[in-house]
Parts: sequence; structure tokens; C-alpha cells
Amino acid sequence: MQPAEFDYAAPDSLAEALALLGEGGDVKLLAGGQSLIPTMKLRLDRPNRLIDLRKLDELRYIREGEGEISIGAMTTYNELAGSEVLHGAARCLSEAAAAVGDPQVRNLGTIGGSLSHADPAADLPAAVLALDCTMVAHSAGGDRSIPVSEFFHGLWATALQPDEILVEVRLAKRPGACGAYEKLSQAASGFALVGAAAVLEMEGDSCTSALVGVTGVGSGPLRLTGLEERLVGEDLTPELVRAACANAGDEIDSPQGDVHASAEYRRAMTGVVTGRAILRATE
Amino acid sequence: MKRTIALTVNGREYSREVEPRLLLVQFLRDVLDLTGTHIGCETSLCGACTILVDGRAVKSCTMLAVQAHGRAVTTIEGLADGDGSDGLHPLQRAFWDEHGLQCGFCTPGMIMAAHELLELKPDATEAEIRHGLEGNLCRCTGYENIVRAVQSAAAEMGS
Amino acid sequence: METATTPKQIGAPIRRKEDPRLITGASTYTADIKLSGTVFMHLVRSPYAHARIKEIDVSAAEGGEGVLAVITGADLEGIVGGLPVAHTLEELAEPPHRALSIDKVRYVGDAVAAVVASSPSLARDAAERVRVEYETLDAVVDLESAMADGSPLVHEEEGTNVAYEFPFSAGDMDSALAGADVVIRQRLMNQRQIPVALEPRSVVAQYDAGFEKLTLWSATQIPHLLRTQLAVGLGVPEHGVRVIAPEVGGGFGSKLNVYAEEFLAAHLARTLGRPVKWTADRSEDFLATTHGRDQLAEVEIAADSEGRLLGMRVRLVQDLGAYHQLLTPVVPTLTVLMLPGCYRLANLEVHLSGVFTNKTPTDAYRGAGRPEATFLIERVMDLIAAETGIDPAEVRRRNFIPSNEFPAETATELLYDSGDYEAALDRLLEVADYEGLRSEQEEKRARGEIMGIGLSTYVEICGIGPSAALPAGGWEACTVEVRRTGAVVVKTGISPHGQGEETAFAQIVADRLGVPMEAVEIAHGDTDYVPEGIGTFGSRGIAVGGAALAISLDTIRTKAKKFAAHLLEAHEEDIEYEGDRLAIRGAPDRHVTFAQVVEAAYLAKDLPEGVEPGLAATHFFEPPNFTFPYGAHLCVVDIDAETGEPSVRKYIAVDDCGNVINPMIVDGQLHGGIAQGIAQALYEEALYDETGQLVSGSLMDYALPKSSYLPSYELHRTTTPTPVNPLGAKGIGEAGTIGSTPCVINAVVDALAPYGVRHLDMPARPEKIWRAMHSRQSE
Repeated sequence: MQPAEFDYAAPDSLAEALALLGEGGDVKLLAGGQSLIPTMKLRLDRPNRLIDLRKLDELRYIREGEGEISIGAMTTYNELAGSEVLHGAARCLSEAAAAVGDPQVRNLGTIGGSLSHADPAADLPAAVLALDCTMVAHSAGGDRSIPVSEFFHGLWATALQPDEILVEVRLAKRPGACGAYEKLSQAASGFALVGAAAVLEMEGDSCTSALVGVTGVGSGPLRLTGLEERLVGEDLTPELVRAACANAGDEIDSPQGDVHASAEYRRAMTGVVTGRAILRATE
Repeated sequence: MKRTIALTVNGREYSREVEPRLLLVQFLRDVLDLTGTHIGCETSLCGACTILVDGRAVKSCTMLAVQAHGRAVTTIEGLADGDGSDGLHPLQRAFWDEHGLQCGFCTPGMIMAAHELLELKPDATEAEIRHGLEGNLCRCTGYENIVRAVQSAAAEMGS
Repeated sequence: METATTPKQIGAPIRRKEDPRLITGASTYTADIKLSGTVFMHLVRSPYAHARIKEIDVSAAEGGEGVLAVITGADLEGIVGGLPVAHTLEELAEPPHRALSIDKVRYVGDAVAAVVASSPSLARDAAERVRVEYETLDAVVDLESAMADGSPLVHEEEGTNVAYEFPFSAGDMDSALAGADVVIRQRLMNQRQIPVALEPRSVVAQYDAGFEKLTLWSATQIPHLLRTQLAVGLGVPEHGVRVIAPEVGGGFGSKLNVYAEEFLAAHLARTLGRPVKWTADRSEDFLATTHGRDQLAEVEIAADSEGRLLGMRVRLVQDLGAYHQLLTPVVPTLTVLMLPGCYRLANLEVHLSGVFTNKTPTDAYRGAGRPEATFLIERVMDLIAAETGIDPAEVRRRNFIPSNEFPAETATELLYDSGDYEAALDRLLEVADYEGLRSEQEEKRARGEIMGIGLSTYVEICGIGPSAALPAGGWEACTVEVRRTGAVVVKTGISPHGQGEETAFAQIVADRLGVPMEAVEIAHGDTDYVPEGIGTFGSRGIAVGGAALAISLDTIRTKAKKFAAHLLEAHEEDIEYEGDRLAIRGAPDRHVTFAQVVEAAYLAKDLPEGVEPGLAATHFFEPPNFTFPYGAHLCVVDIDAETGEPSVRKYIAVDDCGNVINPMIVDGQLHGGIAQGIAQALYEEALYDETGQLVSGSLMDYALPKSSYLPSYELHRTTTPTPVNPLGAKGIGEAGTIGSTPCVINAVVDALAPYGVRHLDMPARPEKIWRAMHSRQSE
């Protein structure tokens, strides 16, 4: 129940947070804390120091610009889930946020925390992949933009450097595009056995662009590019989508298996869940 | 190294020195003696420790006391508004009337979670109530009468 | 509303007396207790399932910040006794079970050292500095390989992992098989479960050196048995120990025990002279609180072509875990007793083996042995139905013990008290529109949808129980004290922890004495205030504890009549006692009130001849038999054809628990029981890996059902009183759990019948169902 001892700081500004981070050592950034604090209570993680970002209201926003939407890293799941800005393609992000944990967890957990933590069964990574987001990391050297395709590095690993803080997630506005997130949950934890986000552009019934992100199956979130290719140029009837998705899981090199679901089941369900996301996106 | 935190709990202001590793639930229970908030797990799943922080339901076992600095906390002890003849909040009365509890251990957290649920969705359907209480486990009631209690409180609070 | 002295409180859905303190956060659970000077215990537990302890080095923990004591098993030898097992078996291997292990550790979580410090976190910090050198051994994990020659031994000195064998035979199974049209063999596994009472276990111990008195608060279902065992274990007189069960947050059998932490906290409080407190973290509770079920069954069924059950041969293997806890070996014997279920069964052959493994000990978990029996016999009914092509409802009807045969003796030598099983089934089929559901199923199947209908008709053994059947007595005690003001204090030996007996008992008192509910206090759970009792388990609260109350109230009524007769100058036998009035028969105007009687009894100015002052009574109720509640359950399960996800769409139950004191509470017990039974069927499973690590060791991996996973339940009742106790009530605490698990699995198997599925092991998780559908498709 009780974490090991640690030192604590709650900086008033991003600059101050970076300065503290620059001091090095075994430091962890505390955002919503919904993954970090339970891990520390079990003493599976015992950082020497926590840098609490709670005062950084400057990182808590969902802004709609001309061509893009930018989301501050400290924006909570519930803020994402309830955002009117996140519609069309971006609906997959608000739906993924609404699918996380439970109301209490969604009140505190943040997009920045989730993406930096990079749990292989987290919901948001599938959506940011399908939306082809850009991650903005901030360090003493300034901002660095990381395409989401380069951001996730497998189990609990990302492209973030030790001196960087993820501050923003940007996504291009895609007028006319549609999106959805679907999930098959692990019954105990609520994490995704398979989660799939689909973003599609359509001309009439015909698909002109498809991006599909999947979580829970591989050692990290990933795009199903083979499936995407099979969808483009096609009329997305339910029959076609089911056929296109039937073997979608085969694209995943090494699906994970555990006591909750075997690799084989996860692979098979990848097609089912992905198909559901695509069909609901186009509804 | 201890930090001083200042916060409001159930309308009263407190200032205390705490270790950074002290969880908010421990602060409430051990420092302020508000033991109505319970601890049922350490993985943020059971919801027995649910309280309101600035009006939003959170699991107080998954928040450090230092994170609550400057915030307003409401616990089960501070819920009753004293409006009714029995001094109970409509949710408390509904849990009583509908037999929405047996051992009572999950009850304070369940009521606090239901409080937020009805604030956000005063007309919640049965399915929305069941979904909205997913962060709170009950081992005794099979949830049947908890759902009825929330429905009945919603009706009373809406009227 | 319920404040008036209305004559009939019994049978009314009165809201609970317990609730005001629980809904306001004012109640006190053990973890809420704060005593001045309290220090905190943390246990060092084995990370290995099976290992020899080479050395324990406590030096880095001792003398650390805030540390008051670090002890190991060696420090307890000759001072603190072993943990008890209570049983009535003829032969049982009883290897020592120490509060702290000294030679070997035998499951992950087995405690080897205890640290006491000034705060819980400092105690945990210090416990991390205790260095234990282990030599790991191969773990005994699988139940059947544990019985094989050459298996590693959990307790080497026993020479085997089999702790006991329990054979039973009635009739002639061989001739039943010879005469059978249908013989079916099936293997069934009742998976291991974790009770997860929402309140983790907690203990506070305080020692008063002046009075040489130990007070122990514990989240327990059995304060009196715990008191006795603590006195024995610590070698002190029984009056030197007081156990208090304050508010207890659920038990389900997991707090029906005597645990190492209770011994340790008590011992350390005595030696340190400070109150010692221990509260389990949930993950610790997962390891160190007893688990449930974990029983393998292999059944051979003999039936005729008309669906009649002729006989059963059953092999049962119970995983005991690493040690006996209080009732570990006894629980599966209840399975043997209840195997006949609601049915006529002349020929039965059973062989039960209890086997040690390197896992957390198993013990009672809601239903305790009976769910295993009911699961087996109710699966048998459906297997016969599938084999003979007769509808499962009809198969049950053909096998029921008819209502005119009660009391009915079973092949297992039980005497079923009362029942009408067919009436319950008829009612169920009617309210559920069984035929309509079958038509719906047919239509859905034609459309490729997957829907199953499950039935289960159960009988269970409650009101536990006659003392002859229990190792520590099966009576219950009750004292009723009417105070000078007319307040009534009931001191009961049961120890409710959510069951609502403070309300149900007060209803009984209000009716029998004509006093308002508010005037009644139901005291329980403090061995100094309530000197004798057995506790709350086995659905015995009302059936045994309530019966003790009823006979105590009879004594009060009799004495009250003596006073009334004296005051009215009438004959005692002419006094009628209705509501709060004691009147002369035929002359209702000539009466005294109960309040006047109480005044006369305590002022004692003019006592009836031979009558003592005061108005109090104590009785021990010894039940002449168990009680046997029963019922019929039906559920509808839909299965997602793509993912295999099952969902219980409809759940309808008709239960009969005899007379009902408070229908609202009875329904609540059924709701929760059904939910736990559904949970076993679909969600919960304690899984160990091959090294003996508990893989589902937290709520992240052990799936307790959430509100959205469960249906709404439709409940109906028939009422067949029991002749076994004066209330005619049978008990309802476990019925829901016992009836629902086979009901849900029968529905899942029924849904999958078109795929050729005849059985599916629990929990029927989506993948398992998906595979069952798939293996046939790919054939």
C-alpha cells in the first residue's frame, strides 16, 4: 500500500519542471498518476523523486486551430471524452478516452501520462496512431516534433529522451473523415485485450484513405498497413469489411498471449474488433 | 522530507505536514480521523476510497496527499446536507430505503461515485448507471439494489 | 412507519437498523480502530511456492528507524502454538502449521518473519531489509500430479501429499451400471476462487498487563471460536482473552478462520506492551487469506432411457493448499453429503481425496462444499437430458424426490426436512415462460444467433448444524435482557457481517414482546459482552441463532405472563399476550402492558410466588437437524458469435427458504449470492503458474464482476417452513451462489449445443467459448 520513500516537487512552470528534470537521477514525472501511483504502491517502481506536473495548467487544453487540433499533455481522459472538438476522425480519440478504466480514473488520468507510459494495452495509443498524430516533446533545447509512427518503441518504451517532457499532441483536421474506437476488454483490469481505432476518408461509399491503429495485441501499439491498403479504393460494405479484416491479425508479428487471452485469440479478435471499428466509423 | 499541505475537507480548512508518500486516503483516515473512506485494494480498482476532489470523483488511494494541496475534498462524512428530516443526502436515504448495502464497506465510495454520476447524468438509464459505477466493486449486493438506489435517488433529486 | 408497535414485523420489508451508521461513514471496522501508542506489524512473506529456509538475517531490519521488534518462527517455538484445524474425520494427516514457518515455506505468501514499527510504512520498509536465504524446491502445483508417485512432497514427514481419503458408498453401483440404458462419464473442475470480501483482513491486539487481559479486534466471522483458540495457542486462560468483531466488511467464509496474524499480533502486543495493528493490503490478502473451491470431480452416471438417474460413481479430489486452516479438510465432505441433490438416488459410490499442494490453503467459500455438489448433480441432469433427448426440465421432474416423501432420507444419510421441488420448478417454468423461451431460441438459432437456456434445481444444507456434525459444536446461544426502561438487549452468539440480523432479530423481538424496533439492541461480536456463541457461517444466523433468540423470548413471555397474572389476580394460563398487552382471556379490558410487567419485575415490591425479580433469559439452541432450503433457477445467456463473449440476459429464481423474517434482506442475500455464482461460472479463477506463483494475484487479474457485467434478477418465492426450528426458517445466505453457477453453465452449454458441446469448464471466458465453437467448425 505504501510507496517507498521519495522526494517530491511540484514546479509552477514548465521551465522549472525541465530544470528539475535536468538535475537527473531516478526521476519520474507525475501527471494523473493512475498508472504510476499503483505501481509505486506495489513497490514495483520506486523513483527517488517525483516531479508533479499538476500545476501546469498551461498543458491542459484542447485547441482547435486552422488545420489542426492541439491537445495539452495534462488534458484528462474525461476532458477528451467530453470534448466537442474531437468529432469526425478525432472521435476515435474521444471514444478511446471514454473506454479507459472507470470514471474516477478518467477524472485524473491524462493523455500525456498515458502516451509517455506506453502501456501495451492502453487505449489512447491506438487512436493517436490512427490519427497520425505528432507528439511534441519539450526540453531545454526547445520543442521536438515526433511523428507518432516513430514514437512508440514497444513495451513501456517511447522515443522520449530522459530530459524531455511530452507537452502536446497534434492532429491534422480532416474534414469529412470519420473515426471510431472499439475494444474487447480484459474483464478484471478493463485494459484492452484488443483495441482498434479506425480513421477513414470516404468519397461516397468508396474509401479513399484508411488508417487503423491497434493496441493490446502486440508488444506495443501498431498500424495495420496491409489492411489499410486493402480498404482503400473499395466500397466499404459490411461484407467487404469483414472479409478485409478477417485475417487482419496476421499482420502482427508476435501477438502477446497471457492468462487472459492467448496470442491466437488476440490475433483472431484483431480482425473482429477492427472490423467493428471500421463499420461504426462509416455509419 | 515532509511538506505542508493546506486543503479544505468537508468545508473545513486544514494545514498539515505530510510525507510525500502519504496517500490522500491515508491522510483522510490517519491524519484527519475521517475513517468513513475505506481502503479495499491498492490497484485503483475497487473504488471503496472514492471521494470528491473539487467536485470530481477520484480514488483517494491513487492520489498523494501532496497532490490535494489547495483543493476542496468531500468525503462521505461531509455529504449529508441536512436538508431532509433525517439529515441524510438523498443518495444515502435511497441506499437505506432500497437495501443498497449489506456489509457497508463499499458503500461510502459507491455513494460518492453515484454522486458524481447523477450530477453529470441526472436522468441516467439503468445501463448508464451500471456503466457509470464500473469503478466501484461490491461483493455483497450483486449491484441490484445499488442500481435501484441510484435510480430512486435520481428521481428524488430530479423532483 | 416501522416505529409503531405494529403487530407483524416478521415478514415485513423493514429497512435495516444497521444502515444509518454505514451510509454516513460512522461505522467502525477494525482498520478504523485507533488506540493510543499503537504500533504496526508487517510480515515478511515467501516469494517462493516451495523452498527450504536456509537462513533468516534480521540484523538490517532490527534497530532501524521506528522498529520495535523483528521476530521469526524460532522466537515463537514453545510460546505460540500452531494454527488449529477442526474436523471430525477418522484419519487425517495434520502436519504442523506454524504462525511463522521455520523449516520450509510451502506457498507464496507463507510468512517467515514479523516486523513491528511505529508506522505501517516504516514496518514495511524494515521488512524489506530482512534477508531470507532460500533453497528453492520443485513446487507441487497440479492437483493430480501431486498424487503421483515421485511427486515432491509439501510435508515430507507425511510421506505423501494425500492428507486423507474419504470413501462413501450406498446401494450397489455395479448393478446400477449393469442395468443402465445410458452411461455417461464426465470430468468437472470447480476452479479455485478467491473470496475477496471487500474489507481486507485486519487485526488490532491490546494487552492490559494489570488485568492480564488480551483484547483482540479482528475482522472475523467467529469471535468466540477465535477467543478459545487464542487462549489455547497462547497458553492463557480463556477469560484472559476478549475478542471483538467490530463492523466486518463481508466474509463469505474467508473470515471463518483462525489466522497466523491473529496469533502474531496477540503475541506481540503481550511482549511489547503496546497495541499492535495489522491490516492486509489487497495483494497480501490474495495470498494469505484462504481461497475456495478447487475440486476436481470425475463422475460416471448410470441412467435409464426415460432419463431416470440410477446411480453415480464419483471421484473427488480436493486441493487443500499447503496447510489445513480451520475447516480445510471438512469442506469437501459436505460435497459428498449433498451429491444426491433434489433427486431420488439409490446407488452412490464416492471417493474423496484431500491433497496438499504448494498453494494458499483452501477453506470455506460461500456455499463451502455444496456448490461443488450442486454443480455436479445439475450438470448430470443436463448430461442425461442431452444423452436421452428429453427436455432438461422434464428430466429433473422425473427424478425429484416427491413432496409426499418428506422428511426424506438420502443415500448419504441426511434427512431432508421439508420441500416441494416440483412446485418450485413449475412456478419457475411458468413465470419464465419456458416454452416461449424455447421458441425464441429456435428462431434465433435459425438466424445464426447463439442463445442458451439454463436450469438448475438445487437443495442445500443450512442451519449448520447439529453439534454431532460439527467439530466445535453447532448450537447457538442467546441472551435476552429486558432492562428497567423496557429497552431490550439481545446478546447473540452469531456474528453478522452484512447479513442484517440486527434488523431481523429486532423484528422477531418486536413481534414477540410487543416493543418498538427502536427499543431493541442486538449486541454481537464481543466475547466479554456476549459470553458464548459459534458465529455466522453456513446460513445459520436465523435458523440457529434466531431460534436461540425465539426460545429465549418464549422464556421472557412466560415470565411476563406470570407477572401479568399476579398483577391481574388471574391464572397464568388465562393470560393472553398480544402486541404489548397481557390480558385475561375473554376479558380484554382487564390487561396490563408489557411496560407495567417490566416495572413490576424490577421494582420487585410484590413478586409472584417463586418468581425472581428481573426479566432476562439465556438459552442455547441445539438444532435437531440441518435445514434444507431449495429452489429452481433459470437463466438466458446470449453469446457473441464473433468473440464468444457470454452475457446473462435474464435471470429468474424461485427460492424456498421456509419462513421469511425480512423479505428485503432475503432478496438481498439472493442477489449477492447469485452474483457470486455467476462470477464463478463466467469470470473468476485463481490461476497459478507451474512454479506456484499466483498469477491472478490482484484485482487487475482476478475478475470480480462489475455492475455492468451482471443482469437484473427476477425473484420469486415459495414457502415451505421447516419443522427443525421454532421460526420455521431455513437460511438463505448461500442459496443464490449454489443455485446459480450450474444454471449459468447449463445455459452456456445449451447455447453451444449446436456446436456439439456437452460440457465447458469454468470460468466460461470468451476465449474458451470461442474455441469450443471453433474446434467444431474447423473439424
